[in-house]
Amino acid sequence: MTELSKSSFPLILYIIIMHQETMDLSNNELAVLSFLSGKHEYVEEDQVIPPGMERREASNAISWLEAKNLIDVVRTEEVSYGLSQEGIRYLEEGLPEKRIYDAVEKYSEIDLRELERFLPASDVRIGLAQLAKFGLRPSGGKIAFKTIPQFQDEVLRRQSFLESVSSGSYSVLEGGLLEHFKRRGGLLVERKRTRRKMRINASGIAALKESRGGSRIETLTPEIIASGAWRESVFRAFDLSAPAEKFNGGYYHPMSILIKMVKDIFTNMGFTEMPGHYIETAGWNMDALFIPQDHPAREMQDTFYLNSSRDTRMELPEIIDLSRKVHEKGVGRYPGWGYRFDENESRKLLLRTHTTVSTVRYLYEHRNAPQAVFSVEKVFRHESTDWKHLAELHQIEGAYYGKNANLSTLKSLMRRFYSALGFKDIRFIPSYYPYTEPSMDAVAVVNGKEVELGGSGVFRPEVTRPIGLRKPVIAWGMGLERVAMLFFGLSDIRHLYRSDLEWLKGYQIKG
Amino acid sequence: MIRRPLSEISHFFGESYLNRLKMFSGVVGYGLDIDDEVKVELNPDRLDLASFHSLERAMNLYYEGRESPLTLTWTDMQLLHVGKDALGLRPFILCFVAEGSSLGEKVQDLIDFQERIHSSIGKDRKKVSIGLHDMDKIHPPLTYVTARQEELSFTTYDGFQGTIREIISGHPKGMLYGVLIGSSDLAPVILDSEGSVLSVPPIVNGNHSLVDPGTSKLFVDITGTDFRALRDSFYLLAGELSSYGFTIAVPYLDIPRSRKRHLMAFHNRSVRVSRREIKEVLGREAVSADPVPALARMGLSAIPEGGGFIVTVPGNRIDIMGAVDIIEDYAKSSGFDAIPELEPQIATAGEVLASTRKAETLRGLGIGMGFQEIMTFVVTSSKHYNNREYSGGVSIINPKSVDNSVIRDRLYLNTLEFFSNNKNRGYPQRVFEIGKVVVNTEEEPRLCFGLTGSRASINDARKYAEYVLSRVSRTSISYQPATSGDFIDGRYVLVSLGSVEAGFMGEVHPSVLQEFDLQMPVAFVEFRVDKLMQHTP
Repeated sequence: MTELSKSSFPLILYIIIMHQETMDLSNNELAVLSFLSGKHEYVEEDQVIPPGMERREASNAISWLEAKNLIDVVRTEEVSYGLSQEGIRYLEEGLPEKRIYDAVEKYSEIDLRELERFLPASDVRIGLAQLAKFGLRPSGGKIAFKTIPQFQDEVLRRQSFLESVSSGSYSVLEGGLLEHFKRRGGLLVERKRTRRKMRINASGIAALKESRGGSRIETLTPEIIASGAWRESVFRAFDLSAPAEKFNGGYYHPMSILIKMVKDIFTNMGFTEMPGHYIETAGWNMDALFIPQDHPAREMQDTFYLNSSRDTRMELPEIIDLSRKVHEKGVGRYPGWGYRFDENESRKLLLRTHTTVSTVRYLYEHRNAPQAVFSVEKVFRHESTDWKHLAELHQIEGAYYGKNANLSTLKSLMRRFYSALGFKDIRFIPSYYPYTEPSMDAVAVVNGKEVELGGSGVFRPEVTRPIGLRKPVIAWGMGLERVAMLFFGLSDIRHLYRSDLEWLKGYQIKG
Repeated sequence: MIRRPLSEISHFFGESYLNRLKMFSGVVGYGLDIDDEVKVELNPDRLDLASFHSLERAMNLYYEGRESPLTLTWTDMQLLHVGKDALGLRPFILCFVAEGSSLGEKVQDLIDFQERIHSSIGKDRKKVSIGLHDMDKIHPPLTYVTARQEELSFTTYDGFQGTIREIISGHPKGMLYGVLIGSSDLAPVILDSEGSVLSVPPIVNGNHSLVDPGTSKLFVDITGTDFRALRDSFYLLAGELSSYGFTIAVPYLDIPRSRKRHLMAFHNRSVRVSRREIKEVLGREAVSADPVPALARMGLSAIPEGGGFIVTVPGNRIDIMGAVDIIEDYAKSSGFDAIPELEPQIATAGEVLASTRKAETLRGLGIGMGFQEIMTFVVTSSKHYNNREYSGGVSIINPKSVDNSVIRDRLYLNTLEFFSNNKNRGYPQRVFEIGKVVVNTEEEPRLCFGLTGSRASINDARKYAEYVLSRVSRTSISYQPATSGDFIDGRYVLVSLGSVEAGFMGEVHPSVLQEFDLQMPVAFVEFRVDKLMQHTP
């Protein structure tokens, strides 16, 4: 539940109560008032029985009449007792003292350690303590039988007391047995009950007088409409004090709202959505982005690698040769990595680690500038999940390919994008990504704290030139779930995907 | 990340250092955290700045113009003789001598820097390992040769005494790095003229030449398997030591001439940058400031030539590969704030994919029927497939945990898990999810409606299914009873539109309800979105 809905709840109650002063009475309340007006003294609650009314209805009406200050109510507190789970067990299995006594009577003498065959160890301890009070004590690790005349009578009394407590018919006066069992502890449960008695007061009499005259319509039925009976009747006012039934509705998942918002912003900016898929080759996901084949991000502890049961043909396999050339020998005046490129690395299947792979492949297939593209798609990280990390998350990706794609236009596009998402005080700072140069991060001030929004940059020539792009490419990206945490006030990012249905049906919709 | 206690930093560099460190983070772009400790999180490409001393040098230059360039003297000094057999085991070696005033507290910075190179470009000593030695404790000339592992015995830097074999099996560094020299009985060693062991690369250094705060003259050996990584390490270490005020002298290197040429040419190499390139990367109006002084503040000397500049790059700027890297330094030096923001005037009309529009339509229908949308993980629990056939056709080689180890091949299992997690919430529950699954290695979007409550049934499911179908398709619906282990026999059917199988619906079998610890009946409809909406454009 969000903070807002917590704090708004008492406010609603307050309005209802204020309203109550000017409201008229329900048929049940009228019936109770009229019943009480016939008495002259305080009446016990269970004696208030207006004709045709259930106990619970009457009790409800009494509460409302009290709240409306039309009756005077006096409360007395009454204590009663019931049996605990343990008490019920004693009643069913017998008192421990009795069980030990019976066992000893049967075998004449029993080793104390043997007693646990007859009853649980905890009961043995209690039973022996009780028997000691009758003078039956173990000696030398054994307990021997001895007739105790008053014992049987006392046990009988105790048992029938437990029975009477169980049935609710006990009497407090029964020879100190209540005190006995209270001392033994854990057998009785104390219940407190408040009894009410009441009488009509002056305002009640006045209200009753005022409301006399004709029956009231509670539910308007087709019959009442047809018969015209409504002409002679008064409608009972809508009872705002009764709680409304909870509506079991449905709405968008919060991420859907955010994703749609982001897609709208992009299309308004003239960007086109590009397709993509979860399963990629390292060739497109890594090599095409000039990420060296021994880069730490390519290791098993950072990326999910896959085995496939089908030997699928690699999508656009020419990326292997294009990448090999630039990794080994560079491009133009850029020297490349100078190592020996391994095409087996390129063919590895993985769960895409970013959607920049979609951008690069889309531009390879759409080399005519300008292109403005975006996607909002899942990416996967080989991370343990915790309150602020997920192994899969939505990445926003925006990219522009054109003559005027540069750091100036990148700053302008990002400011426009992040402002539209609602971020203020946006600032740009230098950063580093293997496939962009320059690289830049956007930060914004959220609740007085600086928050990193996402990365961006101008694609390196080693990325653009091998795939035949003659103009620069600028791109920016960011994880969307972190924005969701800010938007929906989440303290644990996992709740988005392992959700509480109540939260899903109750989160505050924005925008 | 580099870190030092705050007290040490203030004591060593003075109070103004911290203020500058904060400002400079906005120039270079690194994370800075100051509490009891000063922590700097550098981007991985700037190893040349990875110590508080090299940062100080860079800041002195940027803020005060105080230059202390990395100067190397190439000499004919015959210091190290390299044996061919050693190169057979570990094929490359470089070395230099650094001399200055005694290291003092900087000895720790130097060792940290060495370890940083080992773990980054050194690939945990596989590509590069570095030995640091006190030159005054050894007797040149030195030799790089091989020794029999069971014969050569010495004391390691930390006092472990034994043969190389014993060190490999008993010393922690030996156990970690012994594998790097392979299965040979031999090991590469660097010895001095009296036979003392300086190091057994890449495993461990000897005690004899141990560097301590009193050391003022160092011999640095760099060995490895990748010449380019050696070259980078060579310049990074020389740069770090020169930031301590040490002078660097390189003795005669017994390496092939072409390789030596490459090594020497990497220092103070020239990169050509044209004004056109600067405008292309930063924007037409961004280039008002003169690049020459701006680059000089970053330690790059630029000389105007023709339509651009010739920029000289020191050897320890291993991040600079070409013009764009110089341009970024120019932008950083002027400050990113100084770069004007210009609208790119995008004239294209934006649009979303058809799949986005289809999903939006289906979401609307789901919500209209009173269903709550849910989203669950694509990489789901392998527990779901303990007693179930997996049809995805792909497996994750390196799953992180049981909960995230299988790419889902259907949606309803995740919905069952959702119901299971929400069984203490009010009933009836009606939810839907739109998301991709993988079937036989192919990705396909699905739509799943799930309903649960005391009266949930396949009749209920059918009502919703037919409503959705009637709104998105005019093709006639046909049902075909089928069997599935997850659904009650006779209450599981395949749903087809014309002749195209579009999905299935069913009432979940009580044994499956038990598997998910559910007490209420559950029914599902799961559609393949592309088949369901095959006529939607």
